[in-house]
Amino acid sequence: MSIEIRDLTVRYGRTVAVDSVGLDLAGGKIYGLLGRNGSGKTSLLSAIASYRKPSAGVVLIDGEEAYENPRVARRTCFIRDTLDLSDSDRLRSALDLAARLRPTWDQPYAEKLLDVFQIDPGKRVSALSRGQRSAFGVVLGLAARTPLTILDESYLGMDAVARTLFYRELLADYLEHPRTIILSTHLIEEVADLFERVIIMDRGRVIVHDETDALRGRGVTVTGPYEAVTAFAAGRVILGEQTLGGVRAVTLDGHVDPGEIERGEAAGLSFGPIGIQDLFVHLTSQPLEASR
Amino acid sequence: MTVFGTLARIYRPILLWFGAIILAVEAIGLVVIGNTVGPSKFSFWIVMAGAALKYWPLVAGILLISLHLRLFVANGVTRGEFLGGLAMFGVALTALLAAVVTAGHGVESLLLGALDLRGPDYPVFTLTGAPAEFGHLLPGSMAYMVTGMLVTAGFYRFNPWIGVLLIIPGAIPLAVADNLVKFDQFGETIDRLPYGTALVLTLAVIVGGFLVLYRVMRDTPIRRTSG
Repeated sequence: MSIEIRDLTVRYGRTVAVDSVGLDLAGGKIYGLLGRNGSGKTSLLSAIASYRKPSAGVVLIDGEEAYENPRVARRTCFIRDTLDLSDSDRLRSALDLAARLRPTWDQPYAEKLLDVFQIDPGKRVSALSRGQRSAFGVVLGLAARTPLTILDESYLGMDAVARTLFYRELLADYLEHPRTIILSTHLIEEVADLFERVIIMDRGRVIVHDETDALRGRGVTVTGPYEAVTAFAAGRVILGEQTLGGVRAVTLDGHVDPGEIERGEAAGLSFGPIGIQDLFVHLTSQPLEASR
Repeated sequence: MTVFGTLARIYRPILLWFGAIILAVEAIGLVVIGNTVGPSKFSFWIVMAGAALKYWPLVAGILLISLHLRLFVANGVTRGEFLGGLAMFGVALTALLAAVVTAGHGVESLLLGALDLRGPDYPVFTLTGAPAEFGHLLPGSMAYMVTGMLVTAGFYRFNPWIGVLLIIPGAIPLAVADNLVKFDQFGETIDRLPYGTALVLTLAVIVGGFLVLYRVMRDTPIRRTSG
């Protein structure tokens, strides 16, 4: 399912959580939504999933306005970090309800995932640990097999083994049943390999939306003598910098031509790639104007 | 029909348990009254089941908004669809409960008559009087349910302070029904207005209350639970 977001704004009183965001997300890809706490990720996802009416703007899914649209709602599954269940609910009841209401629900797959995550469906929600709650959210999200699946920080509380199982199941199921998946996370490097595209939000705005591979090469770290680095960086967008004695290291936004790298190396500079997490940290720790 | 059918499925076991408890209390109550007071001057069934007919839908109305809206939306149902199914469910549930209370009064009346435990003031059940009894019980039950929904909607949609303030307008359906269409344990009804007028007014307030609920909840954010 493709998603078009036009001038989307979400406000809570005077607080602007999502600020005139515009995005086009093609269908059939896994998107990583990254952002610091309070950057507006959950508000954006809530608006996409129609959990919250936009204060302004519109979300179109497959060309149809999403809000209160039964055709879109049937085909969208939004799993929040807090389960949308009552503590007294038994997991079996939640699975039965999903099976009854979700046309695309895959009960055998849900049973398989329960086995994978070692969750007893006879338990009540209140009896689950934080990690088990998250894992059960993943069960509900993946077994729904909706064309648009949104998982908001679904790894919270999961240990390393459970997270690895989650990533493995997510990828395997996506390959078998391609669909649009949006995954918001803070564990960037751990899941970066899953993402086909990455969206970075900061202070309610989308500051980056690009292919994961393109992002990996988007920034470059240049290290060397202070004067040479300063000369090389002149006129470029500096994402971050460190100076120690006469040595300066700068992180530059944008591609650097091989010819420039060759000339830089001849001047005593060294060049290195930056990871998505580094780029994320640089972009989201800058003042807003500099990060755009 | 999906919302209606699913709500019916969720509430069926709860209703059966509740019904069993009411029957057990009725049986115990009749035995105690029969052995201590003698022939009953009032319908114990109407005291108990009649109260349940109001307060159970009131609580159900609260739960339907505070718990089930979120569950259904999380499973791909829009708010509008949920509220439509909820209206159907509310009418069906209260009609069923009112019918059960009316029929239960008939059984109690028959049983007490057979055991010679009917006092002179006991409201004897008659088949010809049953529609009027049902017609007085049903609007009250519906009004209590809508009040439960409205009061919860105030807290769900707005902050707690506004929610507290909205309890008063939310209770209007309940207050109107209690003052216009009532059937008590002595078989008394309220005759402030002709029944037809009272019924129309009560139903108008109930429908109006539900439309307000629809307006308030159609745009409401789906709240999180504590994590």
